[in-house]
Amino acid sequence: MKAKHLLLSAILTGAGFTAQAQTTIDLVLNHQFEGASFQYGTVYDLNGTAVSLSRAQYYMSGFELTHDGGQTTSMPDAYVLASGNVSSYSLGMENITSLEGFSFDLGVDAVRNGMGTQSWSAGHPLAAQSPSMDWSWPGGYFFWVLDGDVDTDMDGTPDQPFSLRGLGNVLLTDVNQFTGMSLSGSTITIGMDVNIADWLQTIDLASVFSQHDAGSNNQLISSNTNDETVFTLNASLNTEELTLEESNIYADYQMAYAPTIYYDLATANNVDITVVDMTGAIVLEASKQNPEGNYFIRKELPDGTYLINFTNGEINKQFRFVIKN
Amino acid sequence: MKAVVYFGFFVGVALLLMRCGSAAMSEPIGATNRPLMSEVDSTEFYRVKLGKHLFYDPILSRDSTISCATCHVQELAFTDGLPKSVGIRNRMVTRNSPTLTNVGNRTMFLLDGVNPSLESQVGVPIQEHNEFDFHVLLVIDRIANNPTYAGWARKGYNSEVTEFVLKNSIASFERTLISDNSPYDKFIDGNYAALDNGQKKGMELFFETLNCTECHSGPDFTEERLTNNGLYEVYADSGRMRLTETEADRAIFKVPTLRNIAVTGPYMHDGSIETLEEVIKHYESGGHPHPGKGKEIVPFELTSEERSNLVRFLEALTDNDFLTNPAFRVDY
Repeated sequence: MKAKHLLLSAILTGAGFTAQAQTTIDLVLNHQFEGASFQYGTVYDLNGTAVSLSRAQYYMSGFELTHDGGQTTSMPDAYVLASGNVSSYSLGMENITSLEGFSFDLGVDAVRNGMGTQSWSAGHPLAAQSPSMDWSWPGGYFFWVLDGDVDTDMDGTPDQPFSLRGLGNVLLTDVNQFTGMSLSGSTITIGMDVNIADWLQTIDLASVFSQHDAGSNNQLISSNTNDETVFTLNASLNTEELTLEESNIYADYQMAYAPTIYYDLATANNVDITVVDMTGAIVLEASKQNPEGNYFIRKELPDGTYLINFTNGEINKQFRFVIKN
Repeated sequence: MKAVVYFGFFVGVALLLMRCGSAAMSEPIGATNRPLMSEVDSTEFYRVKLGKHLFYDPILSRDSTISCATCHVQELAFTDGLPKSVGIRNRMVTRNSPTLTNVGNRTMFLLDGVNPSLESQVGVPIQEHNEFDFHVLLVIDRIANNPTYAGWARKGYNSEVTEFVLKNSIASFERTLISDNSPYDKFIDGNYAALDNGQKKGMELFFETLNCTECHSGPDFTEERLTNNGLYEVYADSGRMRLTETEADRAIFKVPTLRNIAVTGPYMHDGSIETLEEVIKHYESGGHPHPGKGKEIVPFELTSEERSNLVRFLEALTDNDFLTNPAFRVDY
């Protein structure tokens, strides 16, 4: 019976017909640090050295799908801006039935890397972000941002900041080729484990300080990226499995006057967000937001302490942050 | 007899400029691209109007203390007269402010040419820690909260204020900064009395005797390329290499336009040379040895009179109409 189906499929394909339907392609990224669930601000052991990260973001582009008997379909308009605290992403829809493999690039292709953030409408991964994923002077995007602290006096506490931001077309990195998959359905979800620690291997973080370039350490991050390190397939992953038991909320103070709140909540349902000042007055609000994401305090607020509230029928989480102009 | 000699020289200059790829010698590219600003109420009119006001408005900086015009002053051909510019809270910028003269004709931006578009360039000072130290999305909020600006955005773009509106409007204004009416331009247009004898001798040195046009050719006196001009043996600023990490790009910088050069000092990427005479002396020396120094940087000798004439010719590239044109100003 299976052979007959294959034969029919081959005949239809050969005759120029297609039996394929529009299928939603989703991506689930399970961020880890050497096997442990990744969280901002958590201290990890990296080859005997204590390390924590305050920001881990990266671009994925150039997606190519292998499907339905070895056909290939490119997704030139699919861009993912992945964040260490966010697992679920949508690549879009394609006419495929069964996904057999895929590949992608780490970074942004040269053409769009030169177009500038102003070319994209708000909300697009290539539009202006906060914190910024581009540095206007070279006219390109940070292909990745790995900011954090490293322990330099071996007391087990990270004490010295490092900032690695890959910049420049030479860093566009092929991540080839994940094969042997057999995923089908109206929605196909590609599950991957992402071991952030793999990116940092062989880099002397104590000597990095701030490297926003295509220099040797960012080249190491590129060469550390392949289909056996950093990114590995995990066919069993789905969003529900990644729902946390405890919420994680973290403030990125790169812009202390307008921080971004990274959150990953212990709920699978959307949340309402309100930001209140210490008098209880609402200064910002947003409804029906994803249960994981990056909330930019896009308002010029006076110096002071504020509370951000995440609520739905299941959870009611509060987090305190500070504005300093 | 003298008139014949100068006419012959004029023809020679004309041929030289044509060899350099000038489309129309008496009509610099900037002039042919001049927007028809007489079309009042056109979408372009409102784009430029919005961009001009934003150019002069300090709301683009985090603490609302400085604007684009702080480092790009019209009377100085949109430079600031400082060796290196100063950002908010007196933070030092690392390089000399470039002129915006005919900036719409440029194909690469920043002194190391790493920025590919004028629109992208608008984002640079907004984001730079040592300049406006702000975020483009917060700038957009400020602009959108100004009903006048929001109205012009609607008329110019049929849109609310967006990042594109912000960047394109300022770039649109900057593309109107066209300088094409210097004494040199008038001379090229046939007014041979526009240059005095010293300036004409300087022009002959510039175009015929010396190597100036190896780098400074075309209507805007730039070949639109990068080079190392031997300013130092060891550079503190790695130039284009800071992005590319390529050794060949070490300490190479964009060849600037020479239009309005007399009012854009101090000179060089770091503002380290104060006067045009000193700049010429630098090139007379052949510059410092550097592995990447451009092959066109070779020593030569000038008498003090020749040097003076060359300076006087460069002064003849000053377009006073450009420096005083009220269309480039906002009078609050």
